[in-house]
Amino acid sequence: MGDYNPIHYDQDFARSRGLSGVIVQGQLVGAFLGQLVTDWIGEKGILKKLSCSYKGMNYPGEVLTFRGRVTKKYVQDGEHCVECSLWVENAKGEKTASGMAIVVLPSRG
Amino acid sequence: MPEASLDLERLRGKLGVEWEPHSYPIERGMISRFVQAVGDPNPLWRGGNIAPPTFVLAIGLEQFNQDLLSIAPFNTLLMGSTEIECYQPIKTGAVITVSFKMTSLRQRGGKMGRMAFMTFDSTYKNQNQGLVARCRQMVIGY
Repeated sequence: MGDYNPIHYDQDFARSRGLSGVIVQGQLVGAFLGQLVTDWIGEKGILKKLSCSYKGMNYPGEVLTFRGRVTKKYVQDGEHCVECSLWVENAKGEKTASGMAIVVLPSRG
Repeated sequence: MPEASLDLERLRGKLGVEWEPHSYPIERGMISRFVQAVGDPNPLWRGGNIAPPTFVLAIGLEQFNQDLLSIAPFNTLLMGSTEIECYQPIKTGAVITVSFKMTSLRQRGGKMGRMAFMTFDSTYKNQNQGLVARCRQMVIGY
């Protein structure tokens, strides 16, 4: 993923920076959110925009649940757009990241 | 005793200025390694011809971190937020030129002491100058 920040690999370094241990790369969490969306839209859907805001640290071994909900549907420039809100929950049900996506889906008719 | 401020003078000189762009040939192995790293089994990415949308953030990331840390007094960088706008899929064989611009910089106290909050806008263009993606990232340094 191109991220060689020792905060993700070196336990001693992570602790020296005030963390309890190495943390998961934000990019990895973002990639999982991206996968949530691309799995949902299928091969004919197009992901136009994806955003993610990191609210809490994630640690190796945690079980995270990635969720989404459709919030808006509209037609723009002839494209059928769907907006979704996205979020990540840890095992305690705390949101550790949230974001949104805009996708274009083929029309039914 | 008040927290020591971060010396951000060199970094502040780069505010609003486009940083040196870098170009990266996209090879099949790069895409395959990213897909393997994130564990995405989607058959669209199998074979490494087309990259998942979030692959764009990995392009030039190592260089960006080096460029940032060469002028900023940080030991650590954290990702605060990411926004990607996708215009074209990234495919094997493309040459992607990445350029960054820091659009905001502020300093405040936090759990880890004085921390800098920076926003970077980046553009990704292919070898035909076609716009492939735009990103906006908020990065925290301390």
